[in-house]
Amino acid sequence: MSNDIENKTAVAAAEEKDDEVILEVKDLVVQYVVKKQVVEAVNGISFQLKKGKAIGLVGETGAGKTTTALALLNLVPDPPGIIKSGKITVCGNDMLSLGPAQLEKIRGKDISMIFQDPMTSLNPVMSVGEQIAESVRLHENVGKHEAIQRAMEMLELVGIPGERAIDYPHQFSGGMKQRVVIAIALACNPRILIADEPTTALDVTIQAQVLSMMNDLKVKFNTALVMITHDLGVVAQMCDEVVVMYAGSICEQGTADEIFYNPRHEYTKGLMRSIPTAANNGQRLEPITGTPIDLLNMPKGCPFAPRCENAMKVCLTQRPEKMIINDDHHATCWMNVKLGVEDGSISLEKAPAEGGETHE
Amino acid sequence: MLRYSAIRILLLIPIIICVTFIIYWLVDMAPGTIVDTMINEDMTEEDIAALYAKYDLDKPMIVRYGKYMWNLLHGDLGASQVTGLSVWSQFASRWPNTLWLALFSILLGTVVAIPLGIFAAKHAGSLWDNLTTAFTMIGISMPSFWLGLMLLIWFAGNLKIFPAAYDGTWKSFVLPVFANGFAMIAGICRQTRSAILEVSRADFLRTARAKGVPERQVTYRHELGNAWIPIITQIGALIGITLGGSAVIEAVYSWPGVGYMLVEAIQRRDSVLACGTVILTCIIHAIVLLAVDLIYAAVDPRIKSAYIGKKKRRKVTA
Repeated sequence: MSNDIENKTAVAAAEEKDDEVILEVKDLVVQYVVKKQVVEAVNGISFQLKKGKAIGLVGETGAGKTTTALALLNLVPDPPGIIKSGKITVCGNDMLSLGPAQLEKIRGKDISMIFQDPMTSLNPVMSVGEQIAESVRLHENVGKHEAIQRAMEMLELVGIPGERAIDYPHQFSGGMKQRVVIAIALACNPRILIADEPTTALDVTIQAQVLSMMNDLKVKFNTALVMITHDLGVVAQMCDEVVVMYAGSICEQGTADEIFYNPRHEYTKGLMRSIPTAANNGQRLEPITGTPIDLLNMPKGCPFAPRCENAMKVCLTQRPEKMIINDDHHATCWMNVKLGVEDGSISLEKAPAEGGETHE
Repeated sequence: MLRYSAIRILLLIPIIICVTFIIYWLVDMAPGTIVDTMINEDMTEEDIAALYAKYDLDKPMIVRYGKYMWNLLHGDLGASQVTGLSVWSQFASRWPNTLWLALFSILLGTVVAIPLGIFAAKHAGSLWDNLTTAFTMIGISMPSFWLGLMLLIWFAGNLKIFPAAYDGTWKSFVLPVFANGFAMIAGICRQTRSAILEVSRADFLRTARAKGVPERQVTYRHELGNAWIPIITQIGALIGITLGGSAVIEAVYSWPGVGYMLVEAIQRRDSVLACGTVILTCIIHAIVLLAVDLIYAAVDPRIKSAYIGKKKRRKVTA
């Protein structure tokens, strides 16, 4: 791997404070308009990411994870999608107010994305070297030859021999294609990397390789990582902070330790119960029953209530708001109020909708 | 790839046998023979019988066909029964006119149609797209001879801007090229539009946008790069057809090309000239189609790797 990339990182790191927030999402709302019906795919989510840290976006298919990721690049497919409101700040740039030319400068350079399906994410008629070099040539003032050279270095970095740069995607296996997709995303040494289920399309042996490779790169280049996955094992391994999404909203958010050892939302608890661990070895796993909610017919109360084993009356009628568990942790689940009342830390005077000290 | 090309060329042999047989048979079935165009009242029965014998018309069709094929095997396409000139020399003198007409028509068609098709695809569903669709529907539905005749009436007859027939100047090209190219614009435009629309949902375009590729480059490099196959197929088919002579347009404009020559030959029952023209046309068509197939390999590496053996593949160098 070339030294100049490392040097650049070192210089960049020296210039900035280590706890600088380089990605901030505030009250993001993304809608899809299908046949005049409005679907809120992402409904008011907020999070921030500091330099070199990793945040995990967890949730089922259809929870809005990929839409959130695309919104970060301002690449939500339009039509049918529109970013209705909110604010996204990438390295100090307001992504939602910039023009196309400025966005093109930021995409791939400051923030880039590893896509979910390596089979279709590569252009079949361009050699992989060209596809990596294209990004380099767009963002750095280098000649064609130099760009190809960089492409070969990037391939080496992800564990593919550099001379394969002249080969086309169909000549690679699925795992290697995923590595190429990663190489493209990393080509210009971005400060933020979004990885949208980078291991879903891979078989288990390759998954581990790809993940450890990404972890190495994160440490090496001090890249901030947005990890989208439904694999909690991956989150535990890689992420500092976790955002659990359900039906387009954040249902629980906190540090990885808080989420794993002190889950405070019934959905998160359900997710934990449905993964095999050493503790439940030999026992039957408990899946979360039912299917994700139909975003066109959102219930009045908590969107998870129809599937929740412990749903209460209030869950069906009133949507819970953000409840602060502690400085590093918040969740939107009425159970927190119930528990608070039971252990006496909350005293109720009125209907639970209005009250509770934990209520923000 | 050489091996593949050789096989494709060899496949021409059965095609030529079939095509010549059909042509010979059709000309034989058609009422009248070459002799009928030569008979006059002064001729005696013997004279006429001699004429029949001269052209072998006293023998069954299959015998004549056999003789023709035997000569063809020796590279002899025969001589026109009307003019006595060799088919080869007649074809060679006519073909450049057809070639130029075809090339200019294709050029017009391609240069106009591809950007128009991309434009329509980029604005799919909008008013502009509908207008383009309406335009291409007109272009495809309108018979080229009708358009040719109308252009002739307006621009050559009434306005006298362009000559009505071939006179060797660039001006005489304008009307036939346009009449020929108009339907091509329509065909290629529709093909481009649908090919681009099909590619436009592909995931790799998102990858390209995510790395900051400007929209224009996304369209022309990534989208069009993947949409070429059906477009090239369409253009190749049109080249094949027009190089064989657009008989209709050539007849309308008295264009001295091979298409017009073929029409004349059939009208005069000149079966040798007709057959020879068809064979040569057939070979040209097959070569164009082969070229199209080879171009596929150039634009799509997946097709290329199907041509090249696995062992050879690794030899390609950077």
